Amino acid sequence: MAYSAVPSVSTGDLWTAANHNTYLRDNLSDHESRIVAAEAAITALPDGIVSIPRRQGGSSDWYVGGHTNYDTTDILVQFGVALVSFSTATSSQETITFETPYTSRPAIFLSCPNTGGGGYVRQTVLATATTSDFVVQVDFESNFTGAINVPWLSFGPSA
Amino acid sequence: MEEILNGKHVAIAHKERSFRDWILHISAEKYQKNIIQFPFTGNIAEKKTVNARVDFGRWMADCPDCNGCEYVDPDDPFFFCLSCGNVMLEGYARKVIFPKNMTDIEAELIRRPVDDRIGANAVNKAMRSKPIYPGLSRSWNPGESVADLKKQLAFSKEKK
Repeated sequence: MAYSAVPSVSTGDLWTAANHNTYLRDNLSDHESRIVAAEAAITALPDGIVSIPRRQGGSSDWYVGGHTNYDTTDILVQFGVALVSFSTATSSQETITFETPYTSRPAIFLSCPNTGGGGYVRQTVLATATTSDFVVQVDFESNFTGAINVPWLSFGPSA
Repeated sequence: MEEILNGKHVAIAHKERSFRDWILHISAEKYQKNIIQFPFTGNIAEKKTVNARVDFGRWMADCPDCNGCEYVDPDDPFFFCLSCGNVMLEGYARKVIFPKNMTDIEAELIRRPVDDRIGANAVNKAMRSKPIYPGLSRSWNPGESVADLKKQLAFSKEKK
């Protein structure tokens, strides 16, 4: 039963059984069925899975650039913060292993690290990426000692 | 002829001489039955106003105190709530503000097709009318321009 827009009712208006059934019973029934369907759809998604209808890239590998539009289904989103350690060095790498591997390489976003005033970061790069892990590399302008945080976010197809 | 209805049409439906007579009659009846604290006496608090709106092809206004809703008449623009008896104003009616371009608004709303075959009289038919374009009833709220109404109609036509 489809939703019917509800009119205001004023003194003197006739409110019939048909009105009650149309605007209360059927509308509540319509809302209830939509709520149940929405809840079922949400419950069916495993943790971390979101729905993004379209993707643009170069192939089924999400790490390859291009202009082809793809329909996508379930997408796994993972997030973390890499801890990259330095010992009097201008460059250092850290390997991150995904808690849940992707079925093909995901798109990975790296944030600019916070050095806490300990030096100037020249660049933060994604050195390598596979379906199960990636390597983040941070380069400083001069030697640095300590550890810095690099937040990351990955999107890719789930198994 | 299709038209947007108002208090005058309600008076006709209830066989009263005028909308004011209808409110006087009903409010007196409710007052006698102790349903409302004050009957309408014809007094209007000119500085206390409510805005008219169109709901399913009918000019109405809402009570700011109790959420009641009444028909209003542009030729006799007062609002007396038959749910609470305008108790906050001790039975004084409020003045109703109609939009200056109400004729244009009505003309645009009448362009919206509805199925209004069911109903005991014109007012009841309007209240029970079913928009042909889903969700697009003959309704207007203060703040909406005629251009807004035109856009809504165009959007609904395209969607259908």
